Amino acid sequence: MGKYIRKRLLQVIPVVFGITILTFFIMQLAPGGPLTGMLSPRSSPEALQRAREALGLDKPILVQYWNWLKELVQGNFGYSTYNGQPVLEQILERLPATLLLTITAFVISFVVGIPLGVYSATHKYSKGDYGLTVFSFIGISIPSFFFGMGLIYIFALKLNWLPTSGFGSATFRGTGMALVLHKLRYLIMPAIVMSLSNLATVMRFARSSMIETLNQDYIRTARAKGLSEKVVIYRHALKNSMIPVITIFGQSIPNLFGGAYITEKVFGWPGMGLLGVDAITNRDYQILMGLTLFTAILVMLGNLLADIMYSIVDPRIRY
Amino acid sequence: MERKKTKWKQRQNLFKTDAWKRFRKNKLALVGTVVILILILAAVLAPLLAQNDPYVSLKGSNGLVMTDMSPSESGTILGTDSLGRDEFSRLVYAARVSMSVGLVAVGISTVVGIVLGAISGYFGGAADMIIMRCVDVINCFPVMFLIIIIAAILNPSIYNVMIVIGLCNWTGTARLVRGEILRVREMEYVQAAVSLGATDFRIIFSHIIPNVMAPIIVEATMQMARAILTEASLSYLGCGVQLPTASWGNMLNEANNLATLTSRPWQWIPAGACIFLAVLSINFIGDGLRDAFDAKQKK
Repeated sequence: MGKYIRKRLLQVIPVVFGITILTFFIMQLAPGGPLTGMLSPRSSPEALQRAREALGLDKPILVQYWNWLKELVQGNFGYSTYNGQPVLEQILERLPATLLLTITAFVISFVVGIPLGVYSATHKYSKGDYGLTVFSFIGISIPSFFFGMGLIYIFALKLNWLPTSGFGSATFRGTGMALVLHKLRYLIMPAIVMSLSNLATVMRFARSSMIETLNQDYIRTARAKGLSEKVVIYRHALKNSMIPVITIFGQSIPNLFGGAYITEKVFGWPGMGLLGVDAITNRDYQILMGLTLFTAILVMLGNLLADIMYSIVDPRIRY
Repeated sequence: MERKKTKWKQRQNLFKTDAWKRFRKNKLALVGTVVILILILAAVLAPLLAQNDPYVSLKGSNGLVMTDMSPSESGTILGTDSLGRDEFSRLVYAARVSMSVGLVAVGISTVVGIVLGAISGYFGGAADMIIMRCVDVINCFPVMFLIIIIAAILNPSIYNVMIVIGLCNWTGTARLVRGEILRVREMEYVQAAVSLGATDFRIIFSHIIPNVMAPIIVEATMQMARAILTEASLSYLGCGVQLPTASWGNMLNEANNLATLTSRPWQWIPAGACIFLAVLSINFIGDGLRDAFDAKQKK
């Protein structure tokens, strides 16, 4: 297992280079290119000139890439072209809100998706299974902004149960439990919207994995021994069928983050997505680049974690 | 001449194939096909269906622009938008935009995916290594982020949206084609072609690809659904299809404020419902095709 993990870690290196190279070349298309944004607009003209030379703006493109990469490693993601603030600072400021939303959506999609998938598999071709199949198609097909607008329309505007947008009211003065409950009301709708398509995917996957497991020889043996259906399903089949579901962990992460732009815009959620939406309006390419790079790295780490988990849970997996 | 004849015969028998019989039994796929045909028909016949020009503000009998009017007030099928334009006309013209973006984007991603996947699977070695690492890298980016940054940098136009979505979505097809080629490369008919001295190009494109077409078609169908959804999302965020050209996504963007949500449902529900219906139907069709082509997986 140690060998697998070492190998998997080594694989990270070319991918990191690939991510940065791709981002660098995309930024070449932007006015000013990737390097100009690395200079603080607040520095004096002489300091700017020195920095320009240090970054090698007149040098060949590979030298520029290397200098840019060095800046990145030192935590300089450049400065916003719109308000001159450091990009990384702005992203980190927005990160907790996005993480809260993403992790909640992640948990919902697995906690709800897996039982539904198992139900579907154990009641194959029943009415319930059929209904859940249609539901999962709806889940992957409905545009999240339309779904979000629909929820706001029904639960916030018509029924007045939940707040329409934002994350906490400015006038709320409660503390402790009251504050948590207050914030929770803002989290419900965005988290549901964000989790829906992932939930549907998890459900489909759990269903087919469970069906496959139930066809295994050891399940037939368990049934032949006369074990009750409950024991067969929950003791023998469930654990084994859940192993492949871990692979979905890795895939879920980019999908969830990708949904952040839309969900956060619909609900005015103060996270990275909303930062990106504002950056689109302001043509703030430096922020967009920072966000893309930052999430790509997060996703890569997420995938790494999922693969390592997988190799721990299922020691049969070898490269 | 002889070859053309046999091809024509095969096509004639499409409705008698096993695949068609299996597809026909899938009710959801059939419903999806009907809905999509209706939407395509509406898009094609847009100039006939639309009562008014989708880009012109309507004026009432009193000479004022008919802004934000409900269907009954304005006398149009779906009312008017905030600039007094006919919502229904915009909706059917938007169908043209949204569906052609989907089609072209999938065309691009499928061609790129087939070519790169074929090179990767057939030649192996360094080419395979490089292409597969590229796939890994692209898969690390949430595709939405990648598409948004490119679309925001390039001048937002309908053509750029098609190209960007196409160029960011080829990895699935490439992987699929690569896998299929690895599977059939050692089969006798390919070996026979090799021993007859066929060129690599000929072996790949006239012997291998036609035999792995079924999963490629399924993948392309599923991708079409995703491409329409992506275009709608991009346009909703404001970096996709730009106004005044109407697309389903940017019609929802225009309506994204609480006043519209509450009191003018005709400005956002139809466009959202169209995206939803189109994507759902295509997904149903894709699922039906998968079952139809895959003879092993019988229900």
